[in-house]
Amino acid sequence: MPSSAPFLSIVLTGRNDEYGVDFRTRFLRTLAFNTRELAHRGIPYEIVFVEWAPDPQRPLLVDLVVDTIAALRDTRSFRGIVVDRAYQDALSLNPRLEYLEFLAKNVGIRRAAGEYVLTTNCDVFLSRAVLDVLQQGCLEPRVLYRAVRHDLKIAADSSFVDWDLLEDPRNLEHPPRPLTPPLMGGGTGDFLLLDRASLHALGGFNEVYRVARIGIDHNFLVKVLSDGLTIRDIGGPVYHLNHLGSYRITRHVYKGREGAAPYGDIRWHSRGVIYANPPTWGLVNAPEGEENAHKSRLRFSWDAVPPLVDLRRVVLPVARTGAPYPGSFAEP
Amino acid sequence: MKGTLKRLGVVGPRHYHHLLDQLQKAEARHAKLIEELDRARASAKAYQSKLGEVEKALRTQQADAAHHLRRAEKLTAEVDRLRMESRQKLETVKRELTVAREALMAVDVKLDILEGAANVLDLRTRDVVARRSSVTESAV
Repeated sequence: MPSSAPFLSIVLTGRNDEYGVDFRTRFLRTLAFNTRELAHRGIPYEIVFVEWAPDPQRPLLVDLVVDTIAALRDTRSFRGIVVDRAYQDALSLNPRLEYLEFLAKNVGIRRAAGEYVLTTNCDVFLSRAVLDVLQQGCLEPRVLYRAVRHDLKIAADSSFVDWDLLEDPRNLEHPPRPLTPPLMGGGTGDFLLLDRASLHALGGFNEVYRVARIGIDHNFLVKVLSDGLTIRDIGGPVYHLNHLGSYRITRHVYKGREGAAPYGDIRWHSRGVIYANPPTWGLVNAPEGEENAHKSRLRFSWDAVPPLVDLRRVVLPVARTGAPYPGSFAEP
Repeated sequence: MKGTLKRLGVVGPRHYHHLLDQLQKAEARHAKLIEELDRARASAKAYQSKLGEVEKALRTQQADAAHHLRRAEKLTAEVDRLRMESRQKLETVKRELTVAREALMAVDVKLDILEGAANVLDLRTRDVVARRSSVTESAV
């Protein structure tokens, strides 16, 4: 790791086709808030934003970020990686899957330089308590930090986001789901903070099971425990900007026909079976061309694409003595 | 005269008849007592014999009880052994079930991957074939 590496890399991913309804607005609003608060507290950070399979007819989000948020024009604070859309088609094992979100996150994780890497979503605000911990820098390696998630009401006016809006209980949906051991799941994809070395040793998120997007974050927790790491509550929440098209809102639409969901079938054994990613995880072999100081592109190459099927990499989690068994059988 | 006769031990006919009557009564009572004594003796003998039988039966019962007690102890030990064996077997079955379920989960996941790959390859093949057909048609 270079000596100039920041303390924190925040890995985000998105698509420029308004995937998830009104994505651009939510993304820019959240990014502006989080980066302002990080800078205000003097926390050294970089944003690694992976723009997955962009629509060539639309402007790139990477360019939009640099144009909109002045603080991110500093090349140390922001890196955008644009991934050729051919990777989506080449990697997907489910024609219904519109977005291989966790493979996109792996692209960012693989290229993150920070001592600690936070993988989160583009509509998640960090809380004061979380920022306090980051500011104090008192994180431990081999500990995966999780945060409970508060959902902001859709009706809440989020055109201007400040602490008053986020911390007013009237703006929050039902109480957040508590994080319960051993897995501490619930809104998992919204906050996963781990030291970079451990995250790289784990090989990021599951790249073998490319049939679903849903449950991949939970599956990561099972792998974390199986590999002997600890999962801990960081001690503060994050705030999620609830929106139409979110999983929380749309999941009922696919009840009884789970296999047809655009995020994959939720009933897969994400709690019982883990993975050993190939050494090429995170599209490490993809040819990368730097377009400018903020933006690089991953061009398509079959060399970067793992095999369609690699069944030896589907493995069972290890039950560790003294610790609860990480996985459990779920009847389909 | 009466006094002289009395002194000589001679009793009058009325007294004589009274004494005779008393003697007969005493003899009858004696005979009855003898008879009752014989009955009592016979009864005592019968009871004695019954007592012997009861004692014998008691001894047999005691022996049976001891036998049954030993059998019960043996059976209790056997039940304990079987219970322990069952518990061990149950644990083994549980472990095997867990392993089987884990294997089933892994197989399910692998099948998902294989099915996904088959679907993707099917789409790609259809695409290639469609493109070839259109090229052929345009050439014709």
